[in-house]
Amino acid sequence: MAPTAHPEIEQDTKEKDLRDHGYVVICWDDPVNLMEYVTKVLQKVFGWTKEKAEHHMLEVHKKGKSVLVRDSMEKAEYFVHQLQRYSLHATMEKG
Amino acid sequence: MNYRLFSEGGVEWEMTEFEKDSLVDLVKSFPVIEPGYHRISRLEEVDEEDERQQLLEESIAEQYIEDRKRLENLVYHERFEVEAEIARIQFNADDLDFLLLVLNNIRVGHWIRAGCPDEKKMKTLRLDPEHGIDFFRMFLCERFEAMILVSMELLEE
Repeated sequence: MAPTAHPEIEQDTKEKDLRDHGYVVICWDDPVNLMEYVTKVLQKVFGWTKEKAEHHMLEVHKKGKSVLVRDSMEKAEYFVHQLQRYSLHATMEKG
Repeated sequence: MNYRLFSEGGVEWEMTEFEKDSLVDLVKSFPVIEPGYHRISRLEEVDEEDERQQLLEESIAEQYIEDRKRLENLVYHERFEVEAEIARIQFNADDLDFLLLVLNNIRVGHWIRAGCPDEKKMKTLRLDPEHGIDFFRMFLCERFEAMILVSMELLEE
């Protein structure tokens, strides 16, 4: 037997998922921020090891962007504010 | 410029008086990046009325006020000890982290003012009277940022 569809519940669940983990924080490449500086900022903002921060910095440098975290809207906003405080080119996107 | 560790977990910088004056002058210009420069999203259409964009700009503007106050108590002429034309100033790890943020804001801000030059896109910096100051300040900031990064490595060892 096929499960009974509950469109309203499904819609609420989708919206909750989007709020809870529906955003990614992306750091974009730019020609001005120093590589060592970007690594330091990622360590500071996310509490990452130097190795992890360097991995993301190199991804930004080579691929043009790096997805740093997936999180709720509020946390994604917080991280973007922090990264932009350090003048990095960071945004939050639905994803 | 030279640097050395001092016992309370910080570093002391030694510099010429010209370097001291340049540093004091540079930080007085903070912030250079306008709060409205940053965008909350790059892939979505976000206009000025978007609540998240407004929140971002307000947050950056408020932070700038706090940062300005902190900066006024961190880098000013009287905080340097000057002897035999050598100026000395001490910073702890938190000071260095904050000063790095400040100088990077100034450097990126002048890069924006200079039209965001990008060699990969063949968009080179125009060295004309209008943008010469941007180039000079970017160069100075980079020198001080390099000094901070080396000092931070020293403190972490």
